[in-house]
Amino acid sequence: MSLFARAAVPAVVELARVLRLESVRPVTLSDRELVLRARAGDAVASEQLFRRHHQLIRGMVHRLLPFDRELDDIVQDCFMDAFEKLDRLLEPDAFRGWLRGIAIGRARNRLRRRRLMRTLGLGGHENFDPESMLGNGVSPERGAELLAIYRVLRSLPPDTRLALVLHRVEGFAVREVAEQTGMSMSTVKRRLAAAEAKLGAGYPGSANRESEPR
Amino acid sequence: MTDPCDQVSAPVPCDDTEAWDRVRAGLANRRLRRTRLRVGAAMVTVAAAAAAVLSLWVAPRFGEHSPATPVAAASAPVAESTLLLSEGSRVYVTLGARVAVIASSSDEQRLRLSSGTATFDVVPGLARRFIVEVADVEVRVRGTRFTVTAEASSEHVAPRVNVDHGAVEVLAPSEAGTYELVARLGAGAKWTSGPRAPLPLSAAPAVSATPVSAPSSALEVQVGRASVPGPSAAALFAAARESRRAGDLAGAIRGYEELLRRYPRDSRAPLASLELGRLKLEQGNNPAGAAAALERAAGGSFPLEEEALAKLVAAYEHSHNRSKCEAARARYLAQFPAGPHAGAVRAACDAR
Repeated sequence: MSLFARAAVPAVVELARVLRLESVRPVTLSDRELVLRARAGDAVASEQLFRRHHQLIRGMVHRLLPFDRELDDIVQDCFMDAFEKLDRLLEPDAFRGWLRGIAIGRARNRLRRRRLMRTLGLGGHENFDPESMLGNGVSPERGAELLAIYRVLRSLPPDTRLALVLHRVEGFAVREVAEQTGMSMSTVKRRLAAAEAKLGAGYPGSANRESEPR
Repeated sequence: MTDPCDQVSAPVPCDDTEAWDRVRAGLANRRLRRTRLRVGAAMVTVAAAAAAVLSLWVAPRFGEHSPATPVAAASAPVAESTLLLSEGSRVYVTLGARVAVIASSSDEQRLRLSSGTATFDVVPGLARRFIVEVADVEVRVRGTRFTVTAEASSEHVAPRVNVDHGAVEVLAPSEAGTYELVARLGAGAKWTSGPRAPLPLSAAPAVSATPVSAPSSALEVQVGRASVPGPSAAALFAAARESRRAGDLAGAIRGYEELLRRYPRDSRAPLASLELGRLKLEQGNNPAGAAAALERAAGGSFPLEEEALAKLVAAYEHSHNRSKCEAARARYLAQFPAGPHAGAVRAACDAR
């Protein structure tokens, strides 16, 4: 292949990619741009926002509500809520965090409703099998920690469970747990302390995560 | 059970397309529910039988509007129920509501709502009038869907009418004692009244609800439960989806078919039709059946209409129905000339 051809091929490929993208979806736009376009009624921008964040939200909800049979519906509702309320998002750059907050709110309501149903004897029990939650690529140490966490989760009040999963599994700093759940920092710390006492301690660094960047 | 979309434990490629389709459909359905102005559970007032009289129009009822003994009554003290009338019209009765069929003749079908809320889905083109009494107000319809609420207290009833589609007339007794038109309502319109005199719901003769499949010859009006207690639409939809995920195409097809049979107007029905069509196409041995389902999905205002039409073209092509294939192709290209499937649709339907 001549030098010219070698140079031309990438250019042609790039041109084809740009043309294809422009006729399909704007994949290179920021969240801010996509939010602004979605607000203006751009369905492609809405779809791109969804595709960009779907796996993240679905994974988080899955870990907050393991084995919930209505996982798909819950995730779907999160995105529907977000798209319906998109005009209320003051900072389009903060779409991801805002969306996570919606998902956490839904999960929280779900946990509370389940607990109420259990209290009333109307079911609400989850088919809990933490071992099968562990997929490929999880280290034995991390796997053991996850199993220990999830075994204790069942016995925790909803807000305590939520704080523990967000902090321990999702890696949220204490401040972020407080912001996302609406609890005060002191309440979050108290709930985490109670949860970790149940865990039997042995997991260092819980008090230090407040300063860890997210 | 590792979630295939979980980025932490198992970061594998996740197909978002189906999920996005559901979000789009869900958003459209939410908007549809809000604009329909149907009286839902939030507006239901569960009332005990009314007793005292308090009316804006004091004149008593005369002539053909004199109270009649109810032929059959239905109340739903525990859960919502559906009444199926002989001509195919349906009455959706909400919790605590009380509806009675007062009379049924070749000229008219007359029901009385004494308390609560009911939605009336009336078959269009009927030769006879369809009338709903609430307090001393009559709601007359000509093929439409509307909801009537009898907000009753211990002393009076306050009627409300919301029209989903079609048209209704609202009549009330005048001072002269005859019924006069007080409102003509079109789609989306509503009418409310102040407190009015309730009409007594006389103790109905002992009439057992007749199953739809075994009509009673003694009654001209066949009143039965159109929906046998069973799985909800949500449960059927979820089960069908699970079957598909498990690779049980036949089970998924049965699930969607049952959902469409039991709940043809459920918000999931268009998506269920689309999924049913896709599955039957995938099976490969029933393209005509796929086309029937896809016609349903492509028939209304539906966010996935583009995909349904594209699949419809494919279904007709597979069933070697060239004329219908070309008609569907033309329909698709008229609506979606630059759609994602336009290329494939343009190339379809050629004789092989």
